[in-house]
Amino acid sequence: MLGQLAQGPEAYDSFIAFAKQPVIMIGELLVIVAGIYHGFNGIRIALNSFGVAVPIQRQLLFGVVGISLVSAVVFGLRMIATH
Amino acid sequence: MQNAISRPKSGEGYLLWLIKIMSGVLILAILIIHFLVNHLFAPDGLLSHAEVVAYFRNYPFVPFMEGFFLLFVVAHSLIGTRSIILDLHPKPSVLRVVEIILVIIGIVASVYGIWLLFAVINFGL
Repeated sequence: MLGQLAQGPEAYDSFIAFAKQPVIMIGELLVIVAGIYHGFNGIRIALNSFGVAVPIQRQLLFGVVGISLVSAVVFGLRMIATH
Repeated sequence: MQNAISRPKSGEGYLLWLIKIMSGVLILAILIIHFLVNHLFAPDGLLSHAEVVAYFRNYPFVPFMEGFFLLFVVAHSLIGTRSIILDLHPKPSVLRVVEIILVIIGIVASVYGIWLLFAVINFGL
């Protein structure tokens, strides 16, 4: 993305037009949700690593999955609305 | 650390493990800001080229934030890759070669990314 921005508006706009294809958008949504899951699950593991919230790690995992699912819906709807 | 369930794996070392964890937390924090500004608050779900350049120029902390984001992502991903390779129990000589390759990739990616960042900030000047 930085590379397209550095090349100028034409390169950036053509990349955005390419990224707005449905298949790319589905892939983008999967990357976003995977990133959110990886990030929050990483925080859960980090907390556990320092001995924090170890007894409730199962509940934290459900929370991470919940946040990921809600994020998928929010970002999915947002992507559809701005398509 | 008495009840800890996750520790550095054999061959990882506490420093790399700590960098991996801390960079991961910072990436998540900056990523949330990135999503809010670039996708949720942007009128059409995405900033235009002019808006991105203005965003970088008008808020001096933004290029710093994006630059550190880049460095954190590079460090986190490469340490994570090394961590996955450690699971395969490579020979020390193989691991050494892998480490050199990862360091080269990290340096090239970081320098190129920072150079691109400056190119965006100075676009049209």
